Amino acid sequence: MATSFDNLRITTDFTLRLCARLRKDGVAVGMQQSGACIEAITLHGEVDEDALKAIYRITLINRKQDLQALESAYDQLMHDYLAPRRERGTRDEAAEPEAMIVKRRQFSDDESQPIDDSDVAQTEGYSVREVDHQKDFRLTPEKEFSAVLAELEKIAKKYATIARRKTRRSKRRGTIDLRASLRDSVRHDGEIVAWRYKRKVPTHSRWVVVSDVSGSMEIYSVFLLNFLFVLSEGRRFKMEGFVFSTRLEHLARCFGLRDFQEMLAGVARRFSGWSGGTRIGASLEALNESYGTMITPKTNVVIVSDGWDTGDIPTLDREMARLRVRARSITWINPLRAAPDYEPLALGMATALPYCDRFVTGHSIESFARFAELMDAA
Amino acid sequence: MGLVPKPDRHPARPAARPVVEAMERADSAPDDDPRDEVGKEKGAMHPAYEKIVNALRGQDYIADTDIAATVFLADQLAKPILIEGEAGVGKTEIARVLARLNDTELIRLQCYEGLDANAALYEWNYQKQIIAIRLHEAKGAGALSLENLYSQDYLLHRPVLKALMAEKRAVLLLDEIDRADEEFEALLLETLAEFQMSIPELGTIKAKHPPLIILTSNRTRELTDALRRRCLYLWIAYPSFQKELEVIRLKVPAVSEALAMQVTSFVQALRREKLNKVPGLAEAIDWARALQSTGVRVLASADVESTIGVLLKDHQDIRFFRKDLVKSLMDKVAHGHVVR
Repeated sequence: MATSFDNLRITTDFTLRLCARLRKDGVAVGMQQSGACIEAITLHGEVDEDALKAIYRITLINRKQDLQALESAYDQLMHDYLAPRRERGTRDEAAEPEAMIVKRRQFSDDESQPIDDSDVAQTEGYSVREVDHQKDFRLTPEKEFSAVLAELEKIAKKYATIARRKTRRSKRRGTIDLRASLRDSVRHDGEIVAWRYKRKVPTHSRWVVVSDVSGSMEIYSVFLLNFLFVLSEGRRFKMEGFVFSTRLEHLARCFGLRDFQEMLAGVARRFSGWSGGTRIGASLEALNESYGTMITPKTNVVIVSDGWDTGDIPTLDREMARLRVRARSITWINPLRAAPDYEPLALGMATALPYCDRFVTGHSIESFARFAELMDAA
Repeated sequence: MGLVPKPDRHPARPAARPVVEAMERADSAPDDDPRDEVGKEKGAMHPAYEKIVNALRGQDYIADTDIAATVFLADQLAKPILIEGEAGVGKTEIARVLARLNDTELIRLQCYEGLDANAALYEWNYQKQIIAIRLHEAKGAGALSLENLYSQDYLLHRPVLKALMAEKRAVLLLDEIDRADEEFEALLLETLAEFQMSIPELGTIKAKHPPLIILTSNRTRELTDALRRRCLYLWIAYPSFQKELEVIRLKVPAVSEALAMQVTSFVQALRREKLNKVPGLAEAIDWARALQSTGVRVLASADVESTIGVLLKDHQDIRFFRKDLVKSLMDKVAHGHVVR
């Protein structure tokens, strides 16, 4: 998927990080050096690792003593870049305990450490972007979580606070409606007796988010819920949240809360199915039965899941059909869809897909931004 | 292929392939399908490098990726090259080869302590100026203007200026820059960065064809940062076994395969020992040549001892070598010990 432009961007990012790291190690890498290095890389278009290392050796450093520093900085940085990918082989073990610990550390308050943003802080000089917008959340090292969340918040705020142009007649609030006032004045021979006012209409769309927090999906769901939380702050979107794995849990009033992460941590503690297996059908059944009133013809339903269902497929089919009839639209977010060769082969996914209006990915910051656009248009 | 980790390939780096194999691959490349995936993934260099490596090989110089990349970048970024490395690893040779390759003049400036602008950059030809004045007076023509006296006619081109004024892109070699004084480096900075030279009496001379400037240093003194910053840096280490073997076979074609192998492993092993002056690649080539010319087919202790003066240039080293090293090193070579 990666175009040569992406390559160049990533390589540039890598190079600048390497420069920053070298400077931290006491190697004097000036603008002249880093500039020449970037120029050299651009010149090559595509470079393999050997050539890239050679370019670094030639352009970045200028004394033999620094060779060692360069070598070790390169290795470390490369390790950091590849480390999350190394874990990829283990992704199928859905309920790996590490993932759970990772999340809880991040989002619970009792064991929380000060947010580690040292990684962001140590990036001296110019960086293309502190967070890669296309990087899969699964591959994001834990250190960068806070940076990713900050980035998501930025995007969400943009959509959360767009003012609508639609206005409504108002008794005293808002601005003077000159047009209506003049229209009224006709009755009094052009004398304006009373001002008419208008105010912006807080239009909103209704959203019910059903989020899979089973082992395979947890990381995406947590990011998405955080994202949606910021989106809902601007009152444009009325949100209700649910998490499910083997059963459904309502995140009651969660989107109105002040500290969303604390709430999420609370749910994580209480909700036994966190990071477990998945039963989409049963969970949707619970949604339809117990929270049926929430789903009106104005409601957009968002289901976040990778479609790996360990439960009953006919149930899923039936419940999706029920949901389809009641909801305005159904959006399915599946992070796996990001892969170019993805096909909805998982039985759960294949069953549910015909009922969905939109089937989008949600694996990276950029895909969230696109999703926000969709929500904006809804 | 950038830094995007490829999803389905194991991230572990492919083991470094021996240079010889890589070279062979490079040689046979035209026959292979150029889109051969494996070849592209592992052995092949960047096409630009490969061209340079092959060209240098044509001039009897074996280059690795670093050297090829440096030459390529120096050309593209128009920057001088600063080459450091131990004695006799082929620092100066690069300049010579590049000059031959580009079919241009090699302008060489051997640096020494006390080297100054007059000897390195330019000098006014005082004698000629005085004679011109006298002639002018004798002819009785009007006053001779200063502009006439300080013109190109009376300017003596020393190596650096000569390189700037060259009609064709020249190669300027500033050999062993570490021997010159620190003040001398400052004189070079303008030329290194801008390829120009300011002469107070004449103005600024800008190179029509920016020369390829190569500086070498043996690190007898630390060069200033100002100089280093303006250059591409190339560190040439002692060659690997494969590279050294390759070079010896290329430079001394008459030497037999077995002897070349033995010489190489011997020198490689010798470099591991604690010596005052470690033999470089140049010494190894000389030694191979010496052995070959004395008719040695297979390395023996006696031959080594009689010709060791070619390899070791230090009295203490030779004494130490005769006393302790000969036997152990010969054993290593005999057992096919290859130092990598």
